[in-house]
Amino acid sequence: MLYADNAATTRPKPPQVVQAVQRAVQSGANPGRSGYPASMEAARQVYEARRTAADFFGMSDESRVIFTPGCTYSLNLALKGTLQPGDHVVVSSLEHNAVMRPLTALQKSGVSFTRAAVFPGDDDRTVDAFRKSINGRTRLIAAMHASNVWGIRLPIERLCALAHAYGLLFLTDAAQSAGVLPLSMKDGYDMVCVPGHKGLYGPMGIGLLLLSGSALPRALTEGGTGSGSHSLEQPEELPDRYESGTANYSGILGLKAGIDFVNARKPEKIFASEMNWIRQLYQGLKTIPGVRLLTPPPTQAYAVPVLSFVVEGMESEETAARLQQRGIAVRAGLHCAPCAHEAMGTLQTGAVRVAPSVFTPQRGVSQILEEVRRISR
Amino acid sequence: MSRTTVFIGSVTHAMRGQRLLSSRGISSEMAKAQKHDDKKSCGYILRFPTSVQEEAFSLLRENGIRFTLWKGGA
Repeated sequence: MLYADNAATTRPKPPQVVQAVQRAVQSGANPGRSGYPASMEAARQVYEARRTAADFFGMSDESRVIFTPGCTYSLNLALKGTLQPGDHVVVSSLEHNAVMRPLTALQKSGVSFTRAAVFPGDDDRTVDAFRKSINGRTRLIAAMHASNVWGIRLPIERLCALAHAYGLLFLTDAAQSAGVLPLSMKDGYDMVCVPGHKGLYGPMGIGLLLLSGSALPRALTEGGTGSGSHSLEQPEELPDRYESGTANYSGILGLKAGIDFVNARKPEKIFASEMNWIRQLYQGLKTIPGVRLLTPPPTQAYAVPVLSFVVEGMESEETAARLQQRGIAVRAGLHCAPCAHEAMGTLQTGAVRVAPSVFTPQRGVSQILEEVRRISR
Repeated sequence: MSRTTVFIGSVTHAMRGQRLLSSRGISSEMAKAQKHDDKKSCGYILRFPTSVQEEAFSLLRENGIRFTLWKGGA
């Protein structure tokens, strides 16, 4: 099978990730709870993983790296822990439901939001759209780093600067960018939400919330942290404030192995190689009658290696099913991002999404093109 | 050699403290605090030479690591 659904999760995982998870499951003790050697060693390994993540994202203080069950949880924590009744948020027009559903739920408690249009290839217009959406009650700008459907890259450095110029917090959803695009907390982001199982090649069920010194969301869960156990109050110190309950030890160690793998391969090389793959696919799809591409040709400045297309007159699910019959795994439908489809006029048909990883063979481009040609005849 | 022992509630901060001390050439030992009292249950101790105590205290404070002097067992 040609697996091209890496925007959903990278597959396969590197052998060192599999081994790290296996070792953790086989021999791990509860980290940070007891003083015997296995527990202390587990705590040490969790700390090293936290340190690795901090280094990867340009953070000097690893206690501001919060392990979560995933990017969606990180986003919920950042949004629900920060926003108060009466607050207003500016989001992009392409956001995933991981942002839109929490915000819609928060509307019931008096939080409002505005969707700012994104103009692919024109960052000035995009930033201007965000600026015009700010009002006197705006507390936060939340923008994805890159669209999980269209691969469109948002100018988050400029949006962060815009937020700070207006005294607002800035949050980014790095679901499709972490491990592929440069992303450093030194650039001033207040909150960054990261999945472990996509571009960082970790297992599913682990994610990160990265916090700057200016962001301190309320905790969504309370419980045992292995610290300050005499008190019934949740500790204020990070990361304990947010990490109640037994840590996902195997997930954390798998994530560390994934980050080490990405570091060894060098993110900029991964990005260049995958962009080359996606550009070739784009150029090929462009020549096939009946295939509709909705984004400009992907460039490194404005895109990530994620591409969606539509075969005219065919539901995207049908296109994906036909590709699946020929051994090609892609994702069709709305990709949990109806706003992104609404913005491009594909809410009714959905689209077929393709995304490579470091393990995707070069021949995958011609394989997909050949099958799409056959389907669209 | 005389040693100073501090109590740090969070394992992350205890390990971070140890890393920071090490970056200044101060060797330290870390262990789970064994002897509980009412206010210091569940935590870690960090032990380093008393001769560098003031430098160590400053470093921990500068980096936001909360600690108290520990007189219990470890």
